[in-house]
Amino acid sequence: MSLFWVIVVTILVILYEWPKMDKEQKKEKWAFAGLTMAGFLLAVMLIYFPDTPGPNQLVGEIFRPLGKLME
Amino acid sequence: MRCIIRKKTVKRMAEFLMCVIMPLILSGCWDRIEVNDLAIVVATGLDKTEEGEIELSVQIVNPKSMGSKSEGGQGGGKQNTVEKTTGKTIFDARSKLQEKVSRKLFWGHNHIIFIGKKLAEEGIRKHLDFFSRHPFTRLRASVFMTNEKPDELLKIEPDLERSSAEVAKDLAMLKVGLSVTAKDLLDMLSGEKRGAALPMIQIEREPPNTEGLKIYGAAIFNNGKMTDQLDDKEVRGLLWIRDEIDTASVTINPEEGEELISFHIFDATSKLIPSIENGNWKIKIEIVSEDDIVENETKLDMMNPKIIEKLKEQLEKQIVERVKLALEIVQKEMKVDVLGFEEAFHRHYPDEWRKANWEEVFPEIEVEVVSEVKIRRPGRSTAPQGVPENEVIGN
Amino acid sequence: MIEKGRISTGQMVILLYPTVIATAILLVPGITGKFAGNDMWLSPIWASLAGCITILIMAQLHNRFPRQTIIQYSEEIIGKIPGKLIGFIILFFFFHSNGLVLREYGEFVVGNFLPTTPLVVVIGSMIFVSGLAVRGGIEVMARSAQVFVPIVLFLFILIVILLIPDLEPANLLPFFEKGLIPSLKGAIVPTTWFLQLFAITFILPVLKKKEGGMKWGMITVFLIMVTLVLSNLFTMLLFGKLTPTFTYPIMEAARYISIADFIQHLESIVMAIWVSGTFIKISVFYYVIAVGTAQLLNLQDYRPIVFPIGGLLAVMGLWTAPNLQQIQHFLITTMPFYAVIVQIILPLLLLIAAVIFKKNTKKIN
Repeated sequence: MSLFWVIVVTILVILYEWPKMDKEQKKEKWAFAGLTMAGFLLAVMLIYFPDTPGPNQLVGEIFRPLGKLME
Repeated sequence: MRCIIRKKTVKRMAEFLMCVIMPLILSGCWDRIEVNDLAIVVATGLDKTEEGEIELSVQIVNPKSMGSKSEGGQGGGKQNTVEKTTGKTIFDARSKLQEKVSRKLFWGHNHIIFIGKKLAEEGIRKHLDFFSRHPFTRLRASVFMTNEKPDELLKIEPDLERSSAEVAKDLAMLKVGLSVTAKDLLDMLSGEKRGAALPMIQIEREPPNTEGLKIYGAAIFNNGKMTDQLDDKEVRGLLWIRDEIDTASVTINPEEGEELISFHIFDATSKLIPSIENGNWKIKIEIVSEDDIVENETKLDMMNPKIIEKLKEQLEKQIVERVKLALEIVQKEMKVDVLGFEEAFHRHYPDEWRKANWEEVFPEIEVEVVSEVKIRRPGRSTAPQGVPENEVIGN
Repeated sequence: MIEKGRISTGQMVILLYPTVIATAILLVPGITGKFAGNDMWLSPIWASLAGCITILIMAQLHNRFPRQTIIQYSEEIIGKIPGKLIGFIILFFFFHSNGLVLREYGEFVVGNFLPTTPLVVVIGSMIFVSGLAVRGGIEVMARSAQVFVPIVLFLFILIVILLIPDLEPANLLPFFEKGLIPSLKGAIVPTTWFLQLFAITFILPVLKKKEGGMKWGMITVFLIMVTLVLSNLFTMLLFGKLTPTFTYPIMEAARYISIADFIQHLESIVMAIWVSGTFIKISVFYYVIAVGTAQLLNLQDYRPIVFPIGGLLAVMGLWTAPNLQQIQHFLITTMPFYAVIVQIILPLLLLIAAVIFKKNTKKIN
């Protein structure tokens, strides 16, 4: 169900933005495709593996020794 | 050409569709609740059953009778309904309650919490959390302790107001006795060793065939558990110390004899001034009040400055006595600090306060009560009314 | 120059003010109260120093590279690859913080008002609206801020005034019970909010007038400090030692208001402050990310990537933490160091490098 909505939203974004870009805007098209793809894949990943460690854990791990000072 | 036209119509239609869809989204489908699907809780009663379960009773407004106060008395639909269940926690009981109430229970308008005796004796601290955590409950709710069953209080159909909840709320607003909101109570309980005081409320059936509520006395809590109760007179003294007197009346007996004079106190403030000298903990209670004469049974002339001076002294003494009465009981007998002494010392002597064992210090604190009364006006009459001129004293 | 629009210094203030205030006003009183006790009203004053430092560094860098943002001049100062790396770190930071802000926003709305609405709907609709604002460009954002910020201010002042009858001035005593340390400790977390003024680097290059940027930046810091001191002070005076026990003390304060029996139930006002304020905040961060990403990838236009970024932000918001407790914990234990490194130390190093290598764009132009 939520996968359905993710696909719908992705398609809507593509339909809205793609025709607006000129033929010369190659780089923009690549950036657009890349970011959309990244968002789509992350969303799908979170649907199937909702407990994947997030950025908070990543950053938190880096700063753990300092973070102890604040506890 | 045709292509352009089609594009335009498609765009128009899309715009139109957007306009139609937007209002649907605006209503917020998930949390939309119509008023007629709500059971609005206006008062909550909490008590404990013999088995140790929470007994939750609620007063729900009957929307059919809202607005038009049913004329002719009890004939029409009842103003309120009262429901009651038990559960392990308040919210657990609420869920069970929902099983028999056909509308969604809504706590956003809950102004009153009645706490029953059994629950008060076993400790109220843990049950108050619900009122500061659930998204819809309010910290402004007034809290009362009652020796009767809370659901009995909720069932009362008073004559003047729409419900007993409203009576309790208005009594709290008039500040005739203590007035404590859930926030105040949490504040009192969250101190490390401090006690708390709650106003007590009871059913009043005087004159016969009428029903009502009455604030009478106060319950004293030590460590979240009710340990003692104060009567009305002692509560007055407590109010003076806590600077919660709003308006009051004081009656004195100025001469030998039966004639009395009553004063209306319209402004009163009291201050706690702590001091520590050579390890002696002292607190000075300074009370300043402004009074009007409202009733004079004696033959004294109320315009005579000398007489007024005398009355002033008697009045001051009377107030000091009231305060001392409360002090004697609360400080020496109950040994529970509901007077705000600890706070006063914490604020002005934080270092000494931290080192001291408050439970030992509190009953030993030396208290000095100073009362200053300002008699402002004689009232509408000067000399006593209905007394022949030659009998008036001090004319 | 990617952004064609130009705004005035006044508009810059009106954009940056809610960028800091919106979430700070709700979360800061509770967090500072935890550390500073009844000296919590002092903490924002200490924390505002961090805001001044940020503005100072960004203004100095701006003077050297008046038409560029940090993403662009970091490449000029330390070369292409390390510059891109710094740009990436900054963008990741904003991605992450905006995800947090979105989540805070969502948790607040769901937790207090719409308990059965899915979080993703609340976050998604906010992204959509902000996305439209960002696509419209900085001028559109500035104008919408001009509409919302006066409302936010008015409502905030209204709440402050209506609270006056319930305040207990004695709650302030004793001053400095344990010295200045608690209030300084309480300042650490609000510091991260002041550091968000870092976003000024994306606004300074699009100002109509080149001078006055720093002065008005400092004025913003001052306004923010006053607002935070007020909100800390008033929750303190109302709730005393209860303050840190609430998730959103200001919200509780607004709920507590009851005047003459009919001015009550004012929590919807807090909701209005929150929604309109966070809208600006999220838009500004969103804008920073969109423009920054476009500059990092050397795009001609940032608009096509706005919505794809929005999708990523929504995912980030949902992904960032499992619950509000984790967010709060992160804000206290990690965010201060994270923010100081990205928003003060990085730019400071850049500035030092620029001074040493005598880099600026003035000569080229």
